[in-house]
Amino acid sequence: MESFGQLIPNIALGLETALSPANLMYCVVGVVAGMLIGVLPGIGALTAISLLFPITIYLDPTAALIMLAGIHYGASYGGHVASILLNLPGTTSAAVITLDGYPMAQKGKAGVALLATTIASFLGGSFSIIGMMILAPLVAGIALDMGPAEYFSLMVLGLVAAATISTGSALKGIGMMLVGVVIGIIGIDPNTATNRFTFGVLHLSDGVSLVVLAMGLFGVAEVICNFGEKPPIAPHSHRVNFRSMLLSREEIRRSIAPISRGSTIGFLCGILPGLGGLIASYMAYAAEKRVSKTPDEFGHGAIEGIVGPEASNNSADQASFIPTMTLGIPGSANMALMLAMLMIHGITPGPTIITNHPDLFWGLIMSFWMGNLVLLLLNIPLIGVWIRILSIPRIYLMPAIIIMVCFGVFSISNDAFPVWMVLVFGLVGYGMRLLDLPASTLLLGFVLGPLLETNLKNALILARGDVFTIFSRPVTGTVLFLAVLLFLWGIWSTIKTGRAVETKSPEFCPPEDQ
Amino acid sequence: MNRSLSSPDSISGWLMIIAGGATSAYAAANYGIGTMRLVGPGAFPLGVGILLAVIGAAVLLVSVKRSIASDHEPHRIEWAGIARVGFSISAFALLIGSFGAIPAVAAVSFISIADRSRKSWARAGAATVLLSVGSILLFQQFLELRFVAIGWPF
Repeated sequence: MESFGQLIPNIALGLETALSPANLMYCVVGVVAGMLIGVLPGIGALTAISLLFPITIYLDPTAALIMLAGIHYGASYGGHVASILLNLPGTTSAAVITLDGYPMAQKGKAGVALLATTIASFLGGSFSIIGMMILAPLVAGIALDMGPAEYFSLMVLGLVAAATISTGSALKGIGMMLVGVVIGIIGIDPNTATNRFTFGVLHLSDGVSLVVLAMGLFGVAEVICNFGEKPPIAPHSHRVNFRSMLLSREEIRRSIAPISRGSTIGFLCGILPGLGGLIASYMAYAAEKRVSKTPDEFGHGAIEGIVGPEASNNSADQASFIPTMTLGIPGSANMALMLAMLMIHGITPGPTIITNHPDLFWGLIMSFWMGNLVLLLLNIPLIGVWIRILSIPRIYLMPAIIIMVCFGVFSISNDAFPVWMVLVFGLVGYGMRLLDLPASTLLLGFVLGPLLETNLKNALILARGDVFTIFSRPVTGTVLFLAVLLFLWGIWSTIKTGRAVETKSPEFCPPEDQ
Repeated sequence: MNRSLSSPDSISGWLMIIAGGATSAYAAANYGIGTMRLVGPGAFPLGVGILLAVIGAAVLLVSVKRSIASDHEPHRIEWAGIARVGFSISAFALLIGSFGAIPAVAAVSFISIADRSRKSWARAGAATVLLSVGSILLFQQFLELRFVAIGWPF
């Protein structure tokens, strides 16, 4: 096969890019920032990516992508530390680790649990990286033949899936996605140069800036949300040293199968839009419990219950780059931000990215290895630091995040208008949390909305205005049919049970990290 | 008042109906719809707005149907948080242009942290110093953003 023959030179090119001192530095900055964010409860990867987003505009696109990606998968490494030691998940997808991780810590096996999850994360991530190296060029090859109609239908499917599956209520998810699409319309229409929904405000004709929207919805709203929260009490009992981390032969033997199952589940969840790390980790936990010969041990410190979900989580985090990079269709808000960042730099993510920007694509993949290696090496020694950080009064975080947000949006046009806008979106975001409306699907709709409109218009032009030719094409028809089915299923389950998927905990202010 | 009508879901439903209706009405009134072959600038917002209103109506219907099964108490509104964040961001927006970064950072730190206790004023002072130095290094020196550290407009 042609694509496999290219693999070796591609890997070499990727390594060359990833190992350049600047890119390596941004990779380390990204994964350490991600780890830190993962440890801190209440701040998700999405907030961290939003906060660092304005900085990436000034960087080289490859370095920027490597850094944002590092935050994305670094957060899941950090997330399990707080889960195991404090019974406090730092990220929503690490919540499942508390089920067996915290009981292990209570039995004095915190060190074993930390090392086992770190290794599981690394192996899960590695599995997906290899999968991506093989699969991405194949998907891109198929995607090259797709026209605007196919893109339109795939985007609809992706949006419906993300809104239906990953949020509490399918209807509210879709509603917020549509609100995002409407906000995305604001500004000059590229086809007719009409100012739409600008109401005569000159600042709005460029459209609402993604930075303003993301920082308002995730940065400002999160600060308001966390205002009254008390910092968790740092534990004194779990002293973790290297000796306490040694895994017994029995524990290694018990971990191998769960890690391989978890990696596979995570890879599949990562490719599909809307699933992602959160659902991947819960699915892996359920799978381990089902195949286990001793299901009673789960919940009381079974090592299978932490390594499987952790491998799955990190595997999904890496695999979610496949649809984003090869099709240009992000499956989650995190991925939508990566996509938007590339578009700001004038790079259109899609099947041509592998041929037009091979250094960026393969550099990113190779940086995953570097990042995972750095995480593996740094996670354990830094645990003491993380625990100390957890005991810093939360109150310092507030001005720090506000300053990051204010300067970040100020940098867009060097004036105060975006600062006022970010306040408005912050209040909107807080109101949405009060009403249990998902902000992450709004962001996804905002990023994909303009692409959706352009592809639909182009498809209609190509079909000479005949809607039925678009829908009767085999790929388009099937994909749109699937989207409708998924949508109906979502509505049906909302009506039936009230909640489509009971994955979110009832606590208020869950960090949005999908 | 019927409890189900003031539940978060009902409010969300009404808001979506209003937003969707307003979007489609404004688009239909102000922008051309065009033809199927050459779609005008108003067609897409019109369609999205109608869809949003329909979804909003469905959210409202579901929440009214489930009137008794209200799943949890409405969240408590963090008024103090809203006020502090609101005032500190407003202060930043007003100060950054003419008075410069350090007064803006100081305003954010003191408005967001300080209360009656002495400790909180010390903390706000420490935060001002740290964040001023940090933001000038990162945004002015590293990212070469144009703003003054301290200024006087008069």
